[in-house]
Amino acid sequence: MTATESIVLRGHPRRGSTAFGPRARGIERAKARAGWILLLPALLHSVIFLAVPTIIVVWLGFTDARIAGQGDFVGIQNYVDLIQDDKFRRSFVSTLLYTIVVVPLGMAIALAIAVGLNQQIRARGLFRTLFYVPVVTSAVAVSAVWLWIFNPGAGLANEVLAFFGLSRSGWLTDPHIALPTLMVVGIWQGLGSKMIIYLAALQGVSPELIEAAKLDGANRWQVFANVTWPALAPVQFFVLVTSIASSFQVFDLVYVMTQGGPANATNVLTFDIFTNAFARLHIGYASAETVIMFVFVGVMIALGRLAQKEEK
Amino acid sequence: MSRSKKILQLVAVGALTALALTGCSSGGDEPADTSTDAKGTIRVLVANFSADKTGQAAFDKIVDIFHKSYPNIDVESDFVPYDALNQKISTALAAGDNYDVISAGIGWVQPLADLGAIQSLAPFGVTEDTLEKTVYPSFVAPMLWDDEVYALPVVANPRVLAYSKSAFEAAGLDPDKAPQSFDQLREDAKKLTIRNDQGDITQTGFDFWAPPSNYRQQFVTFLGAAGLNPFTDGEPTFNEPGGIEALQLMHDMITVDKSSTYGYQNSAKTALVESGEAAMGFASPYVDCSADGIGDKCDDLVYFNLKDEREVEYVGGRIAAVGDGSAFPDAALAMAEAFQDPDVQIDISKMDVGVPVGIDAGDSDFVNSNPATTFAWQNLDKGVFEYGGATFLDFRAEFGPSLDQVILGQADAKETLDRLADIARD
Repeated sequence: MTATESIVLRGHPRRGSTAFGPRARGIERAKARAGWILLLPALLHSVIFLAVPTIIVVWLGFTDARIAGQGDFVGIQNYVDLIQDDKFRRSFVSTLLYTIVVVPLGMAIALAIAVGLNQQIRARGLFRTLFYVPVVTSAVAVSAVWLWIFNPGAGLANEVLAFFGLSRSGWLTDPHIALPTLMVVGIWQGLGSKMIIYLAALQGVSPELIEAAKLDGANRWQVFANVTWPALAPVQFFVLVTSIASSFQVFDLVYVMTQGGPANATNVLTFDIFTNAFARLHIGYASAETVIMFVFVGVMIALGRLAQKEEK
Repeated sequence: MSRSKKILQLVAVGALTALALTGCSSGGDEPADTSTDAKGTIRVLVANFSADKTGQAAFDKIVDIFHKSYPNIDVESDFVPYDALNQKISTALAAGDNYDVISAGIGWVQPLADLGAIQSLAPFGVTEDTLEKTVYPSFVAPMLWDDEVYALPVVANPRVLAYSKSAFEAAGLDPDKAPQSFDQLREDAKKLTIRNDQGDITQTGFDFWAPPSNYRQQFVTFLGAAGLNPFTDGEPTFNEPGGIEALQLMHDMITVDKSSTYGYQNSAKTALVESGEAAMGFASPYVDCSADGIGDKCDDLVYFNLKDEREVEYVGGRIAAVGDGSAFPDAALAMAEAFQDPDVQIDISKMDVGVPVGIDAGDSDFVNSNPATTFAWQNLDKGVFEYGGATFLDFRAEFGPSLDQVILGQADAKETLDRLADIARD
């Protein structure tokens, strides 16, 4: 390795090197400039469409605005009202329940499918496509089909129950069952994206390690637990974080299928925010709610990251 | 300071500048152009027009009528479902780019007037007196805010009640005697409910024709029959004893007697009494009696009003209003008035399941084309409306789920209605 290559790789000169000079610094600056130029469009997009709106939302959360930009400063009153708002508390709990069920179940099922589809089976390509189709299907179309399936009168789900001699269910019209029913749809819809990520990660598991484990007498489960599972750790964190974020933001299923009902049984945080912002026209209140959701999701992701670091 | 920090600063300044320029680019204080030769574009927000050829054809007819007065003004339409109406209006107001004409529901008049989204029509010479000459009289009061007319009624959307004569006969009830009081309704519904061996309903006794969280209009009907309006002189009156009784009745019929399945709709979302799945219940104000529609079932249906303390028919409806700050206010009014054209009212009625509100509409072929529409139109004077002041949209969002909680036995009727009354007063 030459001194120049060393500089390129490590960004600083080796001791005693004769390559540290104006030319090397010029190369570094050119690389930095190129980096910033390439980053600029994404940075501008993030500033304009993410950072600035976030700041505006945080500000609106301290006002009593009915329409964005028109409201008086009320301090933390919105946050005080939110804590006392029974509907907000219930929507928070519903969202938490939804996340706690959908995320681990979705990840486990997706991993199982990925492991299965990583084997040399017939029509593997077809199965991979079929599992991925829900991801690219419009949420509205998905919701409409599931609405039919769960129709209490003529839906497929009740026909299946009746076939096995079980009593019919109200499904999305039963306040005790509506949220678990939505969870089923949520798990189903998210399987494909997680499966693809796991499949890609499984390709990176060292075949030599697997072979070595088998030679040492490990059975399939032991190979999975001691070789495959640890190798998937980085991907697990990514899937966990994205799953938590998307579960907390579930909206389209609720909007199309239940509108938060029956009797607020499926009223999740995002739908509550939507109702406060656009049905009740309380933009300030909805903004405060958004900030709370943002902070909570951030905390959950941070905790996940901590847990991952401890595992390492 | 390092170069990279300088570049970051420039980026931040550029972004903020772009944002500021965007904010400054809209709006302005140009004087309104009121001449019929005016050139420009007006934006029209239309709720619940079907997003297909039928809806477009109905809208094109309105535009053609408008262009007879203002041939040089282009019309830009925005069709939205009612659920998305508030989003459109609030984002338009926030952007300083309000619509010139807004077609919404009756309940939207007072909240939009209070928000400054629509303007008074008094400066244009539209008053209660002028309105009473052209539309059904009961439709004038919902158009008022601060004693001025803020919108023009376009179409009524009543919900009628109907029962099946054959189902009444089979249950041993007199097919010529519709239930009038709450007690009669509840008893008849119990007798009309038929179940199979598994206990599942095979004929609903009384169909509320409502998905979950949407029992508002049905409650308002029962409330009206109890002699009350949702609001009186701007004050909520739905939580008076009659209102509590009305809501309790709904709970009893659905959860106690189980003569109706909560939230159930057939896959076509049609009224069960029209499809033969229910013996009695809420129905559409338009019924197709041809072979393509319900055919002979039409002769089996009898339309009636509840009359516990007062005979009522629930009436919703569509309005058209002029947006506040319109650059072409006279043209916008002409566009709103085009919605009231008799032929347009009939087109919208067919599309939106409604009846025309024109004072002479009773003689039209459309109103006389089927028994449901004829009944609905003849009873518009008994209308009980769902509207009530500046907080109506706020209260409406809470109303549906709160009623559900009482209907399902999760909450007390009085406590719930009192809480809703507090929201309405805030």
